[in-house]
Amino acid sequence: MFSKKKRIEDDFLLYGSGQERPKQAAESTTLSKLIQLLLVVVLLGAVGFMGLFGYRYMQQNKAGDTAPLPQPVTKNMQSPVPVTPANSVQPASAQNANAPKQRMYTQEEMQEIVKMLMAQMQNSNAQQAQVGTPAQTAVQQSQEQTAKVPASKVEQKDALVAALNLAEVDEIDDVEPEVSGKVKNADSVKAKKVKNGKKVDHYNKVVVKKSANSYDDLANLSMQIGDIVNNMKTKKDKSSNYTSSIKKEVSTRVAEMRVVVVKSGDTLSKIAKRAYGKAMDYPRILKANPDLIKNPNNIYVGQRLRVPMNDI
Amino acid sequence: MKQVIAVMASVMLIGSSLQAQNDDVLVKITPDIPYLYVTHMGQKVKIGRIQDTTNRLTDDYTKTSRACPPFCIHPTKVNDKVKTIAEVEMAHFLKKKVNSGKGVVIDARLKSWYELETIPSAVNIPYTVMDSGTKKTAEKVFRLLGMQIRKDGSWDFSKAKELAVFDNGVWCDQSRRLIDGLLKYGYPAQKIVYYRDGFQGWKLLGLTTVVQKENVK
Repeated sequence: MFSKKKRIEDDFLLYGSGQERPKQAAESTTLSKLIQLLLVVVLLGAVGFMGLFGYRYMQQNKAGDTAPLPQPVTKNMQSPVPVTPANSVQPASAQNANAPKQRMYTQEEMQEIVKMLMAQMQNSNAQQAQVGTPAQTAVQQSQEQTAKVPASKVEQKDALVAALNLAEVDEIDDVEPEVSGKVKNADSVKAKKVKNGKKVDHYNKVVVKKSANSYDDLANLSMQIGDIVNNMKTKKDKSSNYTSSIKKEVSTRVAEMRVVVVKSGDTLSKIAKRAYGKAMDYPRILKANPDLIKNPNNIYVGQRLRVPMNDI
Repeated sequence: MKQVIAVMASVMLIGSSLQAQNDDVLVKITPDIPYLYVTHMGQKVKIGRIQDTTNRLTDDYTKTSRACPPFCIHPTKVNDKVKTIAEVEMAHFLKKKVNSGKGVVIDARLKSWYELETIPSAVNIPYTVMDSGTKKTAEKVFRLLGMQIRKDGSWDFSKAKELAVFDNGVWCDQSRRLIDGLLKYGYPAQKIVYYRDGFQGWKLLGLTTVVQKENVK
């Protein structure tokens, strides 16, 4: 390689001088070619070896439980506090029939699912996205999946895969009234949040309890003026029109600022049923508490939710 | 040598933690007031802003339209002699005047509004007290606010508290009515300021509020 450059330089220097460049020794060319050939052979060998080894490695992984993709699912099935897809009761009766099947996945079944998922992944990237994501992050993306899952479900020919998808549908329907056993899950979410210090107050309201023990000058002033106001039996004043209008506005205010404190065993739909009479009105709560939209399961006991009343 | 290093390290640690504390407040009230403390009914309340920069207003206090009249948009000034202030001045008022007892934040709205939710430390004087009350009522209220009665019977406001009056906001007439009443009975205009953005402006900026009567289910 280097000798070629040198040859060109030599040619340039000798050009027109009448002299000729001395012939290169044949050995040097053959030597460099030999080295190149050797390199290529070694590289090819390495690639072949790696390919073989990698294939065997993948084969081993396919057989075992340690495949990266299905692991979250396996975990869910076996965890002592089962996450809702496996545990929750399904709303429709048809889905109820499937419920026990989902709960009792054996190792062999899981392996089959894993194999099928792997096969589909290899088929196309698009399919990979559809099958892969729900299995991995069923909880987080439940909102988006509401639209996706039914479409992909039709394509699934295998019953087990369909069952797996049903499990995700179940996750989306988490806010159904029958859903139970959620609060344990919610508690763990709360604990985690507080530990990470990520809990953000979107409410920023301080509930003040009146207790005369701790009154300071300002509180006394407030109470004394309050007494004057209370004792002043107002005659019908000249501004009564305005007063009656502004009083009407208070009721609007009362309606829009209603708060629900999450109790043990609560779900969004239960709260909706309590607040609006219909469990299916839970989107209203989501609208008033946008931080819940990302993950509707993320409610915890003692949480204060805005639940505006209907008549505003 | 090791001790010197340890001392330097601890100094740096303390310094960085102080720095961290200051930086913890992402959404401050003003560049130099991250938050402040007042008392409400004897309870210490930290006034700060909602720290989630993705937070948005929801149903709570977001009504855009009410019939005008009577709920019309107010001009900047409610009265020629009364100064209009905004949130930054309110923060300073709370920090300096309220906490030293020289000033009071006055909620001019009806008691029902006040009890639902108000600005921390606010004292409720419904506008109806001045609107439809007698001079006797005004006297009682003024005396509580630091007005003294001279020997000749005239009212001395030299030690009276400064008042920052607010209501629901730009669409709400309750402050104007209270301020008119205060002036009518002689409260000095230079001791009154009008927080025009009112409670809706306060909420819009995610500032802390206090609730005395909650609509909880």
